[in-house]
Amino acid sequence: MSIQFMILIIYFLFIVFLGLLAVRKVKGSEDLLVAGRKLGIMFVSVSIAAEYMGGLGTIGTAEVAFNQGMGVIWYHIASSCGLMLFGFSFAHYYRKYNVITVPEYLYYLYDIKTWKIASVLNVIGYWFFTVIQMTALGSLISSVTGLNLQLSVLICGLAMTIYLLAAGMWSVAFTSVAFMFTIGTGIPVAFWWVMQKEIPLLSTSAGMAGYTGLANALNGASLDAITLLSPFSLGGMAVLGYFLGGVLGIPAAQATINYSFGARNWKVARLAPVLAAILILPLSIWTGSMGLYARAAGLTDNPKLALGATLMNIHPVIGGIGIAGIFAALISTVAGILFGCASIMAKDIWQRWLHPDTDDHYLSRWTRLWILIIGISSAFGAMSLPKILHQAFFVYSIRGALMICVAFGIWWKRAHPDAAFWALTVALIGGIMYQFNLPINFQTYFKLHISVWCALLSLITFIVISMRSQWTIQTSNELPPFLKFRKGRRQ
Amino acid sequence: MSTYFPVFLQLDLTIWGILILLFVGFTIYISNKPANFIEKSKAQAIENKKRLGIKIYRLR
Repeated sequence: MSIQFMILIIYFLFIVFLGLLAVRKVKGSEDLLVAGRKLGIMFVSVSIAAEYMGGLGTIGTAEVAFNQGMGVIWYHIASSCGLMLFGFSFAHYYRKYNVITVPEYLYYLYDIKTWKIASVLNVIGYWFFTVIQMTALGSLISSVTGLNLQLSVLICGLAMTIYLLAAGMWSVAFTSVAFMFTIGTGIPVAFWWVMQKEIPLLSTSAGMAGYTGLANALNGASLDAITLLSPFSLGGMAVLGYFLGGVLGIPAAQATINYSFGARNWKVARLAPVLAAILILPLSIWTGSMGLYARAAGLTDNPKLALGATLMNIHPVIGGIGIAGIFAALISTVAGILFGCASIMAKDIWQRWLHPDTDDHYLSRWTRLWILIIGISSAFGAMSLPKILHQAFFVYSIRGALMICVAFGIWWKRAHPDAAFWALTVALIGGIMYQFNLPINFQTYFKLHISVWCALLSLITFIVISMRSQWTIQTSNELPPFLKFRKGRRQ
Repeated sequence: MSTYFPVFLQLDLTIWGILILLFVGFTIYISNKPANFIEKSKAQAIENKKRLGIKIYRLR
């Protein structure tokens, strides 16, 4: 058994233990779903940052750096801007209405049909996304441990479900602190080791450490060090894509922002995302540099393995700590997405829509049951179907359309419920057409990324329908079922 | 012998500094707001909706 594997096992058990430790904090459904709205700034900001640093932010950024150089730093700069935008301009609106889910806020802004379609789209999108992220987690585990891919996916999925079942958002908040500590020490320590100890060992680095040695080594490998170490190595369109992704993706992404809903008060809810933006910013420096090292040292030909190859080829203890950091980044994202999906499923679809007479005690049970159902089905899904499900990844790009609905609902007084409903529907239909090339190949024809395409469609739909519609008293005079039930209950 | 300090690192650290300054400024701004600021703005939002003839949902 390798040292890296042992470090990972110990860490894994520690995380599950930490998640279970939070169980005594849970007394009702509100404790489970939004940690009783008692989270302080440390828990909220660290949970948001840990959720946001997933496979794309670690293995993905190393892969881009391996191919195209350090322009990848814009990924986290753009994400930081998205988080800042959320803290500055959105968090207090959500907090004002004490929402638990994003679709619920759409209900306050628009009407029932918008809330229903947003709930369904969110659940489907996050369910698929859970499966895809579980596959990524399983492949990291199997590459380190040598275990069968399917078995590693299953073990990770089940362990995550167990600790989420214990205490919901409290579990995530408790474990996020450990995750953040691991990400914030493991990855930079491995980065430091690579820069100071490994690079001078390369014959092409002329015995120099740090970026001087890395530049020498890149030149020695017949690569252009000046371009690869330039912040503009990706070109303008890629950077624009990162910014669109960060800005459109974050302010309506349930899994990332639901920790802000659990904040102690509105001040914490606004400040924490801004702090999280500071926490995530340096990540791509560390992962990107290690990706470039893998290229300069010729550790692998597969860019996807750049980070893993670097960590497996350095000092085993330092590499093991680094792998634990990557593992923490992946597992915190899966936990966040699984939890966000189960929250919407249990609260919006199950309780408010289908069973408005469910009381608090049963809601806790149902929330746990939905965590179990989604967790286990995703683990099995990740074992068997990842290739097919990658096709369904586009559902996730619907969150750009959600963000458009939220932003217009807050700031444009002509924003109309019909416009919101159709903007979401059109984004879904447009996304399906794009993904399956119906009737033409949109990607080659329009040269747009699917999320930009969906956002553009929903933006146009939203504006056109809003301009043509008028608010009337009858626009949305249906009293929603969950408010009927809540009448006369505690505030 | 000078050490090479790449441009991307300078840029990233500068942006990090700006983010930290924004955070400090935002903290000061937020802490100067009264605790009931959000309730007041919610009352204002409901007034605005009444004026525009938009249905007001009962909030919990």
